[in-house]
Amino acid sequence: MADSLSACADTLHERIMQAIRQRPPAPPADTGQDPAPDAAPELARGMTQADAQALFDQEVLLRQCANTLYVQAAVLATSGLDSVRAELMEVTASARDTLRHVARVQALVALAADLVALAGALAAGPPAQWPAAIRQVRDRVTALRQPGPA
Amino acid sequence: MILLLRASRPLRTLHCTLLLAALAGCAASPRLQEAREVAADAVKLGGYADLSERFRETYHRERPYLTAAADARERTIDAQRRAAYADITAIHDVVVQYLRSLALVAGANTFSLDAPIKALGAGIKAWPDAGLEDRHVNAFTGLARLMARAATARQQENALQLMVHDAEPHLQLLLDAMQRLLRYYDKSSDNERAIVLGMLDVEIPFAETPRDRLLAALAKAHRQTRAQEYRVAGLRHTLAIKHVAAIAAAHTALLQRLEQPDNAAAGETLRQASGALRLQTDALTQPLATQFATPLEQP
Repeated sequence: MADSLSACADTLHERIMQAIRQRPPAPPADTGQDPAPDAAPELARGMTQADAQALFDQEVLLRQCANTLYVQAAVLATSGLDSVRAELMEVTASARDTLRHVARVQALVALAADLVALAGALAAGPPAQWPAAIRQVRDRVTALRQPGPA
Repeated sequence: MILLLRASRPLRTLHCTLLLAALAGCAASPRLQEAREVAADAVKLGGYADLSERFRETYHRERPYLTAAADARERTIDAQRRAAYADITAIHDVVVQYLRSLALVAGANTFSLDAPIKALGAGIKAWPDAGLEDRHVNAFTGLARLMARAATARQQENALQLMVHDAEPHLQLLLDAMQRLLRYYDKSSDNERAIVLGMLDVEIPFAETPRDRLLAALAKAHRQTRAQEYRVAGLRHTLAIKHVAAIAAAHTALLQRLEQPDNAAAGETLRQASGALRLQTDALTQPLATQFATPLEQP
């Protein structure tokens, strides 16, 4: 529907341009204007400027109708997709849950590594190393308690 | 495990080596890599977003060329366009979020336990007098990493397959809507071009008198610029439609590939779809000026 309106407008535009392009030496146009070479510029052409503008306004109207239909088609294309969008959001959310879970597993393994390091530091390292090892474990536990990154 | 390694004898070392070799074989999954590539190319949906915005701003561009009556009519259409824009971007946002998550789920380091296990090995090494030599610890961490990698790779692929499978019908619907929208933008843009250039075409011949020579020249130069702009817009619409279509095809191919990992045809289909998507993404991200042989269209 919108496409045929656009096509109509295209045809109309061609007609207008054809009429405008009628040069003085050319045979008289459909509109029957006087082709005298010495006439005013409007009359030297197939149609007057006012006629051309009026016709072009019709063309614009046709195109605007077509564009209205395209907007409505776009609205139609997006309507009814709310549930589909929600479904895809759900898939995305559950994937993010998986990621969060995996991040937790990674953090747990890292915690194990920190604990081993802490034990090593306590057993052998100089006391100066203890606070750093303890802080690392504490940070890790705090991070685990918080919800992981999305 | 540590005790087991502590009693390492040549035979056990051999067993370990064999196990390592066997595990190494299944550690790296080509399917994850393929999924990463698809997701990375697909997420560049910039064309759709830009063109949606361009569609929304149609009135703004047309305005100087409209008569009072046409301007009043266009304002009604403008309101409709702006109302539709919210839903248009909502589709884009959901699809982009999904594709980003897809890239994360297929990501190289997302599921990996390599780094923490390495840290664990370093921690054990710091233990003095445990009777453990460096090579024992290294063997332990190496084995643990491979085992973890094999386990996590399977887990990752399962998660990926589940995600792609669940998303496929919904994603296809949304991508289909996006393609249709882009086609409407394109047609709407064609009409906009005809309104803008048409106005100039109708008026320029009447300005071609000695008195209005300057006006005619300015109008023609202006028309050239606008004509070029619409040409680029038309090309961008075409490219964006092809890009979205390529995403749709690649996603379907990825799903088939994940569901039939041993099917060579599915692998080949994915390779082709992924290659096509890469081409479309490159075409879309290239500066458009380079794609024109003739920089300006003659009026």
